[in-house]
Amino acid sequence: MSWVPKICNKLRKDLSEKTRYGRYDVLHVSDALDCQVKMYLDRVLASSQSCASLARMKQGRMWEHYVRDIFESENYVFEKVLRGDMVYEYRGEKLRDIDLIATPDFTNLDKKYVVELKTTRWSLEEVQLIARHILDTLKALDTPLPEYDVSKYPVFPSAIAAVCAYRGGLPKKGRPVLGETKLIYIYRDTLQEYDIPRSLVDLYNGWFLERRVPIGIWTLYRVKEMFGPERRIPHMSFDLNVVKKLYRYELHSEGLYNYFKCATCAYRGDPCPSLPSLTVPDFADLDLMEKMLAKLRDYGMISLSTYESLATRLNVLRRTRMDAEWNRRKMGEVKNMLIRFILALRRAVKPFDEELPVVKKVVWSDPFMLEKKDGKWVEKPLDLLSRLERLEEEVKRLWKS
Amino acid sequence: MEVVIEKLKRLKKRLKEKPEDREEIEREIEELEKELEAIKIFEKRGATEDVMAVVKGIYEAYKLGTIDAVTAFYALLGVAYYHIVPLTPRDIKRLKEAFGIAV
Repeated sequence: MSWVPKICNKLRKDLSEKTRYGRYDVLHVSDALDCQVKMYLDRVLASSQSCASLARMKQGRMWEHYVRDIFESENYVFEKVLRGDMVYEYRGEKLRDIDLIATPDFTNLDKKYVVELKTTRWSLEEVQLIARHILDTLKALDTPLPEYDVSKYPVFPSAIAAVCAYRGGLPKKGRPVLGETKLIYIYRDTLQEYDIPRSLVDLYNGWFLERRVPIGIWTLYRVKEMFGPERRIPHMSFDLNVVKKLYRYELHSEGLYNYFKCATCAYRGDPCPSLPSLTVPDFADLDLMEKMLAKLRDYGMISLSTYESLATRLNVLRRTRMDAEWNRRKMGEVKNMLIRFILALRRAVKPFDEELPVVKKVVWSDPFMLEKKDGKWVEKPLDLLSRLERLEEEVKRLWKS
Repeated sequence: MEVVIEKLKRLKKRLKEKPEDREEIEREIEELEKELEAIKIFEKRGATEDVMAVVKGIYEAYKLGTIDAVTAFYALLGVAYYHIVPLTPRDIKRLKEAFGIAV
């Protein structure tokens, strides 16, 4: 599998260096308007991008290039970057750290048209369902977003918000203001590009809705708590410090960061979904394995014969666990067996059985503990006493567990 | 655990009483941080509580001076090997650094 990291690295290089995804000094309107924590993590922190999300971005860009000729023949301009010069206000302070950029896929300034091209891995019904979830949450949080009919425009609110911002224009002198624009959606369902059984897709989507969306909602509430009721996200002002705060937050909560990494690591593009508890035979969670196997069988993702063969191996592993001497003698054999088992599972399963992260334990740190160094936000060094206290807490936690 | 906690308390006290020893204290803190990071590697790689207990036991023995750094390092490697804790080469490098073994 040596080609996997090569592909990932290439994608990372292509997308992180040349586009806005890997830049800290610009903020895209859709990220700013949408306030989806995953997006911040994905785009503000280039390191948190999974190979799968990179692949999807790349795919979207390739699709844009693919239709470029068609639009250019109609006098559209490809990927015009509109740069805003905004004053961000946060708690009375004016900040100018980050440029706001907007990148409509195609623009026709004569006719004042904006084209936003969207590709998706969800079916239209699923997009509507997820978008409704997000809209409901945002509504509950009193976050002003443009109202739109999900059934009419089956896109996520971030896309709508971005297009509204393009329509409003960015208030930079000399730049075109897109006053009256029309919106064209080209919607492409990428599902048929993957050779995946439908049952698996359904299972993944179920997992997404049951596990991933609640986490997103929880995080949105957390963001709301941080910024209080005055937090507004209209299309002209937003809280820059969300970016800083999340950056800091990521540094200090590796568990949740890893969770996001796993959550965004869709099994379709990523060859290695996380199965952390299945790596060591002596203390592998055999009950969990058994549960997963049964689920796989019930969902029809593995045949009965595969199930039986894997279950037999599982029983052997169980016996191995009981007999340490046998384990030592047959270590290589057991190891190979386990690797086969894990590979079989990885081929068939995504992390739908993962426990939710212990989000209550996350401590949100002060954003002003960050400083800018060489254009990047880095953690300010703690003083010695704080480091000692942190060490003491760490020791107590380790020995308590 | 008591050894480490005591050391931390001692360092705190020293920091308050003798601020001129700051550099030396910082060095000791860095060492402790590295050692704890090394222990946490096992946790990250999916070691169970039983294995973690062994790892912590080895670390405690090292801190008490019962075993030296090299023995502690190889003992930890042995634990990883026996229990098939999937340590990466980078993890092993970090372990070496934490126990002050030449890389």
